[in-house]
Amino acid sequence: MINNRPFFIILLLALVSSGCRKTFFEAEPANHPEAVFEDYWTSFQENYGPFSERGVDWQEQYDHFRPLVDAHSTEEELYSVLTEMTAILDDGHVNIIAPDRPVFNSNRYFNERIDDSLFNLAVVKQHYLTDGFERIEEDDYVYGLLPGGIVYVYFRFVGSNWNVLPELLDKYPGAKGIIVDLRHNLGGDFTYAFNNMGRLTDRQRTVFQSRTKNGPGREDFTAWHTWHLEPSGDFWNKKMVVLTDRFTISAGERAVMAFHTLPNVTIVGDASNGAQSTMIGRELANGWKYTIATQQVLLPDGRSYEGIGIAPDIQVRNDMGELQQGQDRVLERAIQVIE
Amino acid sequence: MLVAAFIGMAGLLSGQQNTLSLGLGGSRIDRQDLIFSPFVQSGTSASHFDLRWERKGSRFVQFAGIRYSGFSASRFNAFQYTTKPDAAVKTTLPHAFTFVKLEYGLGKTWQSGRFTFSGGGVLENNVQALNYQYGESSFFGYFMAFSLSPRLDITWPAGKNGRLNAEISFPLLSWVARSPYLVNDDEFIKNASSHSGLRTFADLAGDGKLQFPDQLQQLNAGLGYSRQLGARWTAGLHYGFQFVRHTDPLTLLSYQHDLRIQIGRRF
Repeated sequence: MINNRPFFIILLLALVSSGCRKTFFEAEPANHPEAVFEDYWTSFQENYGPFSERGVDWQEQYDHFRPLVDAHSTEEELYSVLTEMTAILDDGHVNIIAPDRPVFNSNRYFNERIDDSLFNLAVVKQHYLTDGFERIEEDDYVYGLLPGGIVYVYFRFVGSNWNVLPELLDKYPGAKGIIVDLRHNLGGDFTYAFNNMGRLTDRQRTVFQSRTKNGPGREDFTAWHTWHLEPSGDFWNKKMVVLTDRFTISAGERAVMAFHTLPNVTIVGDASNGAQSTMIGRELANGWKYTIATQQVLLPDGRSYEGIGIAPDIQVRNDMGELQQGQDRVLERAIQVIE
Repeated sequence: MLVAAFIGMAGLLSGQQNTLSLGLGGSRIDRQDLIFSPFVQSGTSASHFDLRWERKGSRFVQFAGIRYSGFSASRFNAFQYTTKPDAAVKTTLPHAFTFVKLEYGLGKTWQSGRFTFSGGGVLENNVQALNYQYGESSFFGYFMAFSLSPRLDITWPAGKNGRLNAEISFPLLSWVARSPYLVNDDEFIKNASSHSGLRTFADLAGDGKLQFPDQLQQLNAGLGYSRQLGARWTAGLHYGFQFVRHTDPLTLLSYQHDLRIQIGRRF
């Protein structure tokens, strides 16, 4: 007869010990409206980086909004208080995600999609890249030759899609210049942009400095870290135009900052969004998710453009009527700059 | 030094018994990592795998192993939300943890009554890749501990063809690399900027610190039963437990339970 007792002992041990899950864990935030409000407010108080750049007194927000939440606040009321309190940051890196609702973005441009339709990639493809274009899935990049021998490239975000940039420079050796379209760029990882821009500079260029919150105190930050653009490969010294708009955000803006250091670059369009930090995610005791910007960023002039955006050298905005007729005024101004 | 020890031990153990065993089963994780969330993330997974080689002589034993566990873990139920401007309906995802452990150990064996003891040391390499999901955004994190740990193993007979085995180890000296205070600081971004998996791994690991049990408390324990199936084959059940507490820069507390069926072959 086979003795199965050891098997049962091991199974029992596994069951009993895996059931003892709460031992030693730190207390989790409580799930009732007041506790959720406190947790959310404190998380920003301790971790949000650019309060001073955005001119926000977070304590003042607490004083104003805390009395609006009590033990009987409904989910709808709590959501309304948190989103209204957060709206003052006007920060594209700050989102709240709650069940069965649209994503709330603290930035007005993103939340209300102001001027969202003033950029339409389909217009560029149909009316300007008339000799054809190359693209990858979901238009992560689109490139082609514009009339007059100008290279056009659009990047939807900043990631491995930027690896195509050095290839483009080789593919069109006779090009008169290049237009890099970063309108509506969603951001991502700016180091992909920096790694692929080496041929566009003949020397190391300082792009920006950043530091990250590393403690709950107001001035708890890491040391400043300086980010550079490093030269690599054959120097490509032709005219460049970078297109930006109010939806060019985050790593997209950091890419604009890098282009901004180059003497042969002109930035055309509208100011970028002005959310240049990195961010982290968090969750609340009721299951809602949210994100917080955690850095301060300075350009080489020693100023922060958080909440302001990188201003274009030439300010041009598309006209909805013209765009519907297939005319992209911003792109046409960029073509003029290169010609 | 380890290579020298390995060669030395191989010499001492030459001609002795080798066992290769494969374990497949499930795991449970309960993990609170304050860098990412104040909540305890829990998950159960059927993705647990263990491959182990052991060479045993009358006086010494050495072993090497690799263990993998993959988890989907969450504190909260998934929910649906809509994106802008396309109004696409999406569902939140659980966090995803991938744990790999490589170990190499040496020990001296001795007999005491029905019990066979093996005491020695083990080099434990814990690499944990963490992917925390917050709706539209996800964030990569990591915990790596390369540790030297004393280890004790006790085996005793259980029934005619069976034996029970219990083991315990805990690190005394560790090289620990972990996500920074707020995950995406400049140092982390710089370390990840090569976009080469191996180089990023080396850069992140290289940013670690030498730490002692005041900052890393870890306990690995196990209880297994194996039964002889003929001259060469064994089959059994193994329960493993790993407790991790690390306090730099914020507290991480993790309980992992593994239960696996093991098949072994002697050669």
